[in-house]
Amino acid sequence: MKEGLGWFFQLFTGLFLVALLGVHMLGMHMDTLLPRFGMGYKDPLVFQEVLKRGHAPLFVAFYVVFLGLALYHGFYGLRAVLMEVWASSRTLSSINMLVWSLGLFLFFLGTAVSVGFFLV
Amino acid sequence: MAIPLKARPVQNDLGIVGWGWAGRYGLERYLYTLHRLTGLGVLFYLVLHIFATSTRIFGEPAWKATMGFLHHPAFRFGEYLVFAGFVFHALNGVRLIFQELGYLLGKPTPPVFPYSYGLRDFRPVAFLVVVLAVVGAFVAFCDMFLV
Ligand code: HEM
Ligand code: HEM
Repeated sequence: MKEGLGWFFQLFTGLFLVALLGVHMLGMHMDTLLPRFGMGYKDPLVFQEVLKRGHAPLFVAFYVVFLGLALYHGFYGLRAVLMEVWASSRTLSSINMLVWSLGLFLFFLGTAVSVGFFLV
Repeated sequence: MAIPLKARPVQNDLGIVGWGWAGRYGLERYLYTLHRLTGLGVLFYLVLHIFATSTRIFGEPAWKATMGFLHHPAFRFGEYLVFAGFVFHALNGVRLIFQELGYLLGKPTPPVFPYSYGLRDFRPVAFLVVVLAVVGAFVAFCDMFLV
């Protein structure tokens, strides 16, 4: 991939993550203040709620997209940091291999869990 | 290749030490260090998070066991740090997206005294990021520990 394009895509995914992660964090984390104003979930982490979300197709789609964008953005960022700490042409291919294999593994794991949970 | 430290250009070759200090840094440079730390922190959380939330596929007992384990105050505090870090990273990230693409920097001018510095002219934007991040972290603190 062209270096500039990969970087541009990191910025682009960052913009999307503002919305996706913003919603996720407000819903999952701000569970005390928001319900007082009639918003958000009260007990987002009890299993019944997890089950309800996991069986809603929109949530499953949301998680797979979110997972992919967050992993790309985060691992591209880690790659940039590693490239700076070990700045050498010899280390570049190892760094690329490391971030791609970790990122893809986590993407498949998360997707399998989200889709699998939807199906059971 | 051990080049003596003194022989190297100081600004660029301090390695990780240089993240914290390598001369007279401005506000934006510290925001950059914090952006990096929060980005790596949230990424670390995301990796653990994918494993932790995957236990939901083994049913309610496994999920309850995971949640019980994560109820420890150390993890609760960690979760707070993730929230605060995310708020800062998101706000500063939006500033970076604008400025790296050339917005919020002012028009380029010829280098004639008195010089104009894009980043410094727009320092209020950086201040706004800091203020909003502190407010966000405070609201999350109330949500988690006070209410
Ligand atoms: C700190 C507060 C957080 C809480 C309480 C939380 C909670 C949860 C829960 C309970 C799920 C399972 C799905 C569901 O129940 O609907 C989930 C999934 C997910 N979360 Fe979070 N989350 C938090 C932060 C984050 C952050 C910071 C990220 C991204 C960097 C993130 C990314 C994801 C992703 C990608 C999934 C889907 C995983 C999969 O496909 O298996 N979460 N989260
Ligand atoms: C909430 C929305 C987010 C926005 C707006 C955002 C924005 C950005 C931007 C603009 C950069 C700098 C790119 C550059 O140097 O040109 C960046 C770097 C980075 N981001 Fe994010 N980001 C977000 C969420 C995340 C998440 C969820 C993670 C972790 C999974 C993450 C991890 C990182 C890392 C590790 C870096 C590299 C830092 C460095 O090079 O010093 N970010 N982000």
